[in-house]
Amino acid sequence: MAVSGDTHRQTATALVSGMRATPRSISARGPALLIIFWVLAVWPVLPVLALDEPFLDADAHQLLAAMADEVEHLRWVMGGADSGPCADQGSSGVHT
Amino acid sequence: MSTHEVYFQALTLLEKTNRLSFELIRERALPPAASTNEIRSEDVREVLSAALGRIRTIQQVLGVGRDPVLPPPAPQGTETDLFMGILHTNRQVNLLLDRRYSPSDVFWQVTVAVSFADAILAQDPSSGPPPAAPEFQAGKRPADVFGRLVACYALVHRIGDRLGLHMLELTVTPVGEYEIFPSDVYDIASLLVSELTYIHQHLPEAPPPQTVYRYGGKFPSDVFQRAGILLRQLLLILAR
Repeated sequence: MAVSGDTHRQTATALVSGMRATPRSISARGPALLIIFWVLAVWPVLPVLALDEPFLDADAHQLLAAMADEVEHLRWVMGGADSGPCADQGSSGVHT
Repeated sequence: MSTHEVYFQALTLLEKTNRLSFELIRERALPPAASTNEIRSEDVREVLSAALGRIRTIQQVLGVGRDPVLPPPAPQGTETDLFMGILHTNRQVNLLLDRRYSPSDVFWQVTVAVSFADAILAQDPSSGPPPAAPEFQAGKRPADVFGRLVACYALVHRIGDRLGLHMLELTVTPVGEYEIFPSDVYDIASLLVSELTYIHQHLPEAPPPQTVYRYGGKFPSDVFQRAGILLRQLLLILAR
């Protein structure tokens, strides 16, 4: 069965809004559903995204990468990175 | 997540690197002057640079140095990326230490947190005496202290929320009891100190915290008890 471009868009809107709806009902409710989707799904996420801003000082990332590399080298020199007393012993489980 | 949390974690990295340096080559680096104003990204860079310089000095003195070449510029990362990276490197540096971070070190750091909480409480003249220490419980493990400090962090986060301060969202995946080391507990304690410092800075009426001295010979049970005082202080702050 051939499907028109409009129907494609309507179906996509229905998928995005997470609701099962026929193209006929979407054409009537489409704008309202998009607004509801924005308010419920996107808007609450924005402040969270804004909190974790890029750390603008790229040098800090570079310095830390160099530091991690040098520490790894020193661990290897001092007793092996994969075994022995300097071996990595997992993680404390902390995440942010 | 904000810059001050990254800064304090970077200070912990420098402190551990300094201890390693003293153990291996009997030298320490002077820590950068404490920032008195709002902490900026330049402050973080300065501390990381000092820590990197110390590691390279150790390698040179031991004769195992390599050409000091910075890796290619890292792709733009977030403060969280930097924080987690420092936390990981902290753990690696601790593995190199002869005298690893001990419960006595954690006890000191928790006592610093207690002194800041005390100062925050004291900004209200009507507040009563500081809370008494909970009963001493023998046989506690670093994981017990870790759990109590994570609980303290949740309270600190609520206090920060109340003051409108953005703070790190911390989640902890449960790991085995014997996978938590005093060094990990120390990192959480220093994170608590960073947040309490941040809150203290935003309370101009709060008096300065009392000076804290290091104690030796402390066990996880001592730290657990001291963290219990902190927990009670934070509950009092929240109850006001």
